[in-house]
Amino acid sequence: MASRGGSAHRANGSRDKICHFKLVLLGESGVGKSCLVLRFVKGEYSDHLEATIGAAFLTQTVNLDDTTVKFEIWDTAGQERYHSLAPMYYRGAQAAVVVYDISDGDTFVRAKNWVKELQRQASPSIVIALAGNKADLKDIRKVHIEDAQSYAEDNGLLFMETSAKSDQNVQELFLAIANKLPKSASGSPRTGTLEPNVSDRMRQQGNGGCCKS
Amino acid sequence: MAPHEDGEPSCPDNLHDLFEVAETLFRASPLCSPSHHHYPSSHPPSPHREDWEHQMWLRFLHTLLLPLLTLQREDLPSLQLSLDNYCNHTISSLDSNIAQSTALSQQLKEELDTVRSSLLPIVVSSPIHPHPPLLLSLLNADLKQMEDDARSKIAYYSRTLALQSRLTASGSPVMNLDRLQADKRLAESHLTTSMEMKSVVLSLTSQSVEDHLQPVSDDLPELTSRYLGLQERLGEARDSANHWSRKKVLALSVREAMEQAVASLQAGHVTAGMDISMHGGRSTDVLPEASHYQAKEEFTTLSERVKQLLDMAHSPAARLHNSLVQTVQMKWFPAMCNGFVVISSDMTRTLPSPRTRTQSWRRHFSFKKTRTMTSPSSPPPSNMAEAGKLLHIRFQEIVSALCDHLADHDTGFTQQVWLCYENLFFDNFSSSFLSHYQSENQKFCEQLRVNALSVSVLPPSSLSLTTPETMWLSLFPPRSFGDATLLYTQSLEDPDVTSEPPQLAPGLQAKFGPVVTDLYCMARTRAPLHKLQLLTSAFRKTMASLSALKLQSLLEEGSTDFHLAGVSCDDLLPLLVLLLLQLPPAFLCQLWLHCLLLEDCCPTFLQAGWHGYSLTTFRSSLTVISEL
Repeated sequence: MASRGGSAHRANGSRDKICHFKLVLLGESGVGKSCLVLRFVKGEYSDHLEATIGAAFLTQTVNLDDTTVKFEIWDTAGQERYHSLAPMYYRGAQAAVVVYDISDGDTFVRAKNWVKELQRQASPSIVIALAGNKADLKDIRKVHIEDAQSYAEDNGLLFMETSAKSDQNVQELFLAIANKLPKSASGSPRTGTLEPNVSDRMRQQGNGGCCKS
Repeated sequence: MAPHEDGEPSCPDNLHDLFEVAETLFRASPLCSPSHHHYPSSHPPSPHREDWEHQMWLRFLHTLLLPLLTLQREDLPSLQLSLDNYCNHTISSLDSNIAQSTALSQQLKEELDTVRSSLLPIVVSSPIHPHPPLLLSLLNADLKQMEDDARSKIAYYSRTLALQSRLTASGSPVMNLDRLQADKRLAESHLTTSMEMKSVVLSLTSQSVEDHLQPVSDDLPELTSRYLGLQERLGEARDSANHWSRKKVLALSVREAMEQAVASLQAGHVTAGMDISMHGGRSTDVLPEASHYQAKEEFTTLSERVKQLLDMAHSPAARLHNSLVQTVQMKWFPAMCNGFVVISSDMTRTLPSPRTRTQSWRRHFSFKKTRTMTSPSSPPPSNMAEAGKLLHIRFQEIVSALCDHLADHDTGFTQQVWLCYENLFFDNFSSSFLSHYQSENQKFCEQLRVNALSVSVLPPSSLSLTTPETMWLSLFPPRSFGDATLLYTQSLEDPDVTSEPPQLAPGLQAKFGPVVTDLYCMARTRAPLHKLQLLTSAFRKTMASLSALKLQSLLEEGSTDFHLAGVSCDDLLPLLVLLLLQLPPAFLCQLWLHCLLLEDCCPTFLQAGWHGYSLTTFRSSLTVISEL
């Protein structure tokens, strides 16, 4: 997917840049990928009828200081038998969230396999975040936070333990991803960088600058 | 080559067919004669009609040029020979037709002149006859026709003389120049005569009736009848002569333009031009000398210009302005087919009124195509399907770049523009394009055949469902072994399973029938964007149905954990697999084919969002089926 640039007006009338990023959710079935993304998008745990919406594909924006990041979130099937299909989903993605369940050690092993695969096959500039979900179940924890933290540091991943149920670190996780994504216009427009909007582009052609808002 | 059932000629497979296709297009287009072209009656009237005519003309030029560019250089002499033979044969046959119809029209004209000379004094002396006003009107119309014919002939002889002069200078005379000049002089004298006679008749109509009370001649009825009969026959003979003359001008123009194109390619140039005006002549004959200057414009230059046009669409008024889309469409059509566009200086005018613009394009436009369509170093395409593919790649590069940065501002408009081009492009190339994927699709079909037995008896549980199996079993009960084998064997051998939308089992049909209908429509539409829109619609309907089912299941179980009813990919993918397995395998093969086409043909801005996710998930489901 190509990211696209645009502009948005802030309340004070100044213009923000808008970045579009494709984010893919990976992880074993049942680790709470859908709940995590629903919490991020809807802001509440889905105990209501309204929650019966599709969680397979969602979009959500995150406002940074001078940039609005619009995430396009693609869910994937976590079952082992569908593993081979994942490359179709993470192709062109600028960010990936690999989710595991802290109360299930196997899901962490699977998560590490996902990370390995992403590092090998996805775009080299992809931002990968590791999310230890169901942090509210710390009493039955099987994956120690230190192990996960250490693994994330070794592999250059963003890491947070999250809980969709108690809304722990959900917004923070996506905000951290948004901050880490490249936003300069100097890169290729197909690798998740910003593009100025059209009128900006026309103006900048005369100025010889790039990505000003 | 026979035209398609809908009257649209397909691309030629060999050189001989080329001329027949061009002939078919010629007959169907305004190049032939305004009264002969077949503008579809269901289409809206002008200015859409003018756009349609313009497209027909472009297709005519396109049909002539494309085969040239797909030929190897060593094949060009044989094309030249074939061209010579065809043109000589055609021109000699046209000459014979022209001579016959001209002789007939000359004979009829002499008879009519005689009758007119008898009739005029009677009419002039008997204006109180009940019919004089009618006769005067007829005579006036007749003389007006004479005048128009004379003017038209003078213009025709002028153009033909210019063309012949060049041919004579290059050592290949086709017509007698002296004869042409004599004919032109004759037409000029007819013009003078008709204008003089017309002034007499016009002066009569303005005179007072009382001044001319005279008895009516007995010869009037017979002379009037003869006069009217001759006039009608003469009109037909003239039409016929004009028709053959126009065809000859076209044949000569095609010959000259193609000779130039072949010579250019033989000389090693990577471009070839085709310069034939909407009237069948050469632009260089139609345009005034001052406008003969032609400026080369590269793709990128044109793209920038179109970008500027699309930027205008950011204003609400422009967004609603259909002519903007049409302008963009007209500018991009040659761009997507050609590496170079040659435009006369008059074309640089910005956005004239639609009518003026169309006429301007008609008169002043000629274009060139690159021989190598992807890059200067790549070899020319070996066949039409390959050529179509390469053309689309180029088209895709340009439009995708454009749409990418416009998508955020006005997706609707961008899609509208994209659809315009797709309709134009796939109008010409849809069949050859799909054939490009047939071999890959064959593998999928074979795999499906191998898997047929195991797939057909697949229990839902084998698809790693995350939701209670009871829900799935109620929808997809296990099939009996024998029935499933029969179903798959028959379906794979029936290539025409898409004549009607496939039907699901009654329980499933109620919930997922609209999904299957959308998929069926998707396989039958032509433009990829339409396909993608239908695929996305099918996907969203699937999600909605699944969500409702899950909610119902939860309520039946007395659960209030409604978040479990959210549809994630963990549920969606197995459901799609199970659902698709209910469809005839031949239909699945078609879906696979169209998914391949969409993956290649959709611009990047459509590979994102709902469109992209739907396509990826459908493609994934079909992959699962082929790998079961």
